[in-house]
Amino acid sequence: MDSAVVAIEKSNPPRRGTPVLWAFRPPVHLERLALLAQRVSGLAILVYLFFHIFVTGTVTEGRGAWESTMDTLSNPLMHLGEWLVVVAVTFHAVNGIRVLLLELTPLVGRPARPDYPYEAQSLGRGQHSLLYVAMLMTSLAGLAGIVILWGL
Amino acid sequence: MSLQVLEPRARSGPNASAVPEEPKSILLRIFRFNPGEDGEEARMVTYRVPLTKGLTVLDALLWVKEHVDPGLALRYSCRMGICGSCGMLINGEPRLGCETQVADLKSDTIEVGPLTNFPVVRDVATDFTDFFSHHRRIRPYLIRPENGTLEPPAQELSQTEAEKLAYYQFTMCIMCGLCDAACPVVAFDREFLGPQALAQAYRFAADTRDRGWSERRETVDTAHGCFRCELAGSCSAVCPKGVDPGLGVQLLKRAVLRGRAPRPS
Amino acid sequence: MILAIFVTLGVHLATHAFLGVAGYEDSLTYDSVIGRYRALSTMLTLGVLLVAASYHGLYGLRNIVLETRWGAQRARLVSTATGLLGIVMVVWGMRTIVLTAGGS
Repeated sequence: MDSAVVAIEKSNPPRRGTPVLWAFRPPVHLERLALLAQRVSGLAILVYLFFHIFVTGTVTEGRGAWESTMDTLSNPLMHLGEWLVVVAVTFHAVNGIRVLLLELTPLVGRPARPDYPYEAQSLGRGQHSLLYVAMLMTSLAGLAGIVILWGL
Repeated sequence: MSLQVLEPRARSGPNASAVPEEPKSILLRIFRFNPGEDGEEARMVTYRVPLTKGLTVLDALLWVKEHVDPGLALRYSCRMGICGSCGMLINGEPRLGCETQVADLKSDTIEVGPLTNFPVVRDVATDFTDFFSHHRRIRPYLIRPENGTLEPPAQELSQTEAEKLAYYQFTMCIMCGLCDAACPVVAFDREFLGPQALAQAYRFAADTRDRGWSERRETVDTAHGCFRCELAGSCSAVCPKGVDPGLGVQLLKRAVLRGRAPRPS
Repeated sequence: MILAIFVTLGVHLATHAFLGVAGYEDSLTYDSVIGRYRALSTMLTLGVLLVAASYHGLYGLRNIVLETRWGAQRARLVSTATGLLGIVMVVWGMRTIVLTAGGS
């Protein structure tokens, strides 16, 4: 029954791990996006830390060096960067605590009889609420950051 | 195995129904790849499959195999969600072909591909060698002193209901491989034991009849063991039997850190 | 792995102490920075935070790089590179702490 064949298109052989895009393969769910955000924020904080160590190191070279460094860093772009760091650190820290709680405490759920519709305990409402707390605290920290850095 | 085509609903007369006719066919895009014969050439072939009531993706694939191309390679057996053979990517998501109703997918075009993170043997069939070797590595059997001897057991090994419930859900695993296909750590780390093996390691560790905690701990407390899990949660999201391997892995981590075998208090 | 958990706890407590600064703009003037650095508590907090954050961050970076195909083929290079980076960061940070606390 050749009429049943509608189209033939070239395709790529399946690739095992695609960077970043792995987080968006279906089924897309919050926990996996949180993992991606944790990694991204972690890398961003690491980059910031690297520069931070050298910037604060200028305090050893005397008052002049310090104050000129501070002047260079007082422009709005730098403030935006600092605000991003605040948001990243808050999310990374609160999500990290969520990971610790899920790995070490009974908060992850308790084994039970699996009955239809087979809902996973570790993806239940209680565990999701930890993620919502993380997102809430991140946005609160973001707001606080805006207030402090720009004195609104 | 030919499918029966149901009679269309009557449009007039005493048995007429006011519901409009459903589409009579769907488009099935299947990943076709034969590494032996075609070399590296992979292609997506679209077939028009007649739609019947209750059609599953597995039924649709078998229709193609029967009526169009007998060379389509896929694995299936029980077609009722218990053998774990028909794991495949359906619209990008790892699912069992026999348990996925075409009507539930709510689209006229369905994409079927081989499971991610597994080497492709041909078309939709994948190589489970690594998967089974990880499973074997965690010793999926009760470790007791009398293993290997031919002595019959002296008495029954009894368990309370609570002790059984501590590991029961992890025994439901049908080894379909969907969890390993969904896990991002398995995608990047070939030596990672995987959610299936780790959940089974927990299943035996939590079983009060087991005496092999120290060996099990050595196997999972390694660079590619349970601590490589990063809580993506995809394994639990795709498991068709409610095993929740993610839960098993976290409980295993806790047991390893405590140093004691997990036992119900 | 288990160490990472204790490291994170250390980071958490140290960060908490560090953020107890009133008045963001004032806290960045030269005098107040130097003044704070003299205190032993500041030195300890910053020292612990430096080591913990560097270790935690670079361990994660090494993990991520080793997951790529490029990184997996050069595992030893990746490990030594991140180790060296860690040593550089810790040494420079310690230098800052010690020099400002010693007298300047």
